[in-house]
Amino acid sequence: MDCKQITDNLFAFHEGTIPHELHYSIEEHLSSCASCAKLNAGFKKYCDLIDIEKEAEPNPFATTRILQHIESAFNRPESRNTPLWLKIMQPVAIAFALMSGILIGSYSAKTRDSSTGHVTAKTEQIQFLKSDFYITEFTDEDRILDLNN
Amino acid sequence: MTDPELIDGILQRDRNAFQYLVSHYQKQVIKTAFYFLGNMEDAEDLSQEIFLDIIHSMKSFKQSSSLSTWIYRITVNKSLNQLKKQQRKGIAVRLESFFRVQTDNSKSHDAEPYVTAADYEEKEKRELLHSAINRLPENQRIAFVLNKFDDQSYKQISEIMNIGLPAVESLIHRAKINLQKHLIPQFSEYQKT
Repeated sequence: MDCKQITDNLFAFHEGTIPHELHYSIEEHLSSCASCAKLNAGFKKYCDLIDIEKEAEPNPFATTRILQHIESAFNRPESRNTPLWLKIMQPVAIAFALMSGILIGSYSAKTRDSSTGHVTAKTEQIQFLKSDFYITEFTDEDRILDLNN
Repeated sequence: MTDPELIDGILQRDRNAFQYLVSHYQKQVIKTAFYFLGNMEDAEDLSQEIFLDIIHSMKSFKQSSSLSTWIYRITVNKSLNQLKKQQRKGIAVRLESFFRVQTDNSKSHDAEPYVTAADYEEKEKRELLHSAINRLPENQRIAFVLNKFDDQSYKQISEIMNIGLPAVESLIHRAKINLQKHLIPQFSEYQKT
C-alpha cells in the first residue's frame, strides 16, 4: 500500500464501499504514515460536513412565503399581460400626439399674425429701415411692425 | 390527493391544489436547491420561483415520469441557472466583500462576539467544499449532489437525468475522483500526491 492508493480511495474509504481487505490495508497504512493520517483526518471533516448539510432544515414559515408568492403572482392586475402590439403602439401614439401638437402650434402662430393685422417684417425691410433711420439695432419686439399704419 | 388529481387541480388553478403541492414538495425543493446553492436563504427564495414555474409549466408535463421526478428536474435546472447567475455576479460580490472586510474589520469583530473560531473554520470548509463541487462538470455535479446529499438511488438519478444506470455510476465515480483532486490541495502539508 502506497500513499497514492490512499488519495485514490479516500471517498470510498469513508463511505465504507471498498472491499474489506483494502479497507484493512488502508487502516494499516494510516497508522504508520503521519501525513496520510493527517490528510485522512482533514478529508473526514469534509465528509462530516456533507452529513451536516444533509440534516439542514428549511425555515418552518417557508410554506407560507411560497404560497403568498404564488397568490400575489395570480392576483397581479391584467395590465401586466399587455399584448406586444399595444406595447409598441403606445410610444408611437405618444410621439404622434407630440408631433401633431407642434404642427398645430406653429400653424396657429402663423394665422394669429395675420388675424391681428401684424405682418412680420422681412429681412430686406429691416435693412432698409436701419439704413433710412440710422437705427443700428432692433429688439425682438421691433421685428413685428405694424406696416399697415 | 393522488398525482393526477393534483395535476388536474393545478391546471384548474385550484388553491387547495397549490397548497397541497407546496406543503407536499417544499422540503424536497428547498433542500435540493440548498445542496446546489450552499445557502438556505437563497434556496428558500429560489423555491418561490420554482413553485411558480411548476404551476405555469404544468400544461407541458407529459406524465412520462412521476411528478416528483419532474419536480426534481425543474429544481435542478433552476438551481444550476441560479448558480450561473451568482457566478456572473461573483466578481462584483467578491470585490464588495473585500472592501467591506477592509473597512469593517474591527467593527465586525465587535458586532459578532458569538462567532467562534470553530464556526469560522466550518464556514470556510463549507465554502471550500461547495467551490470544489461547483468546479465539477455539470453532469457529474448533478449526479454527485443528488446521490451524496439528497440520498437518491442510482435508479432515481437515472430517471431525473434521463440517462442510463451505468452512466450514472460512471458520473458519480468520476465526480468523487475529481472532488478528491480539488480538495486534497487544501491540505498544504500533504505533498505526496
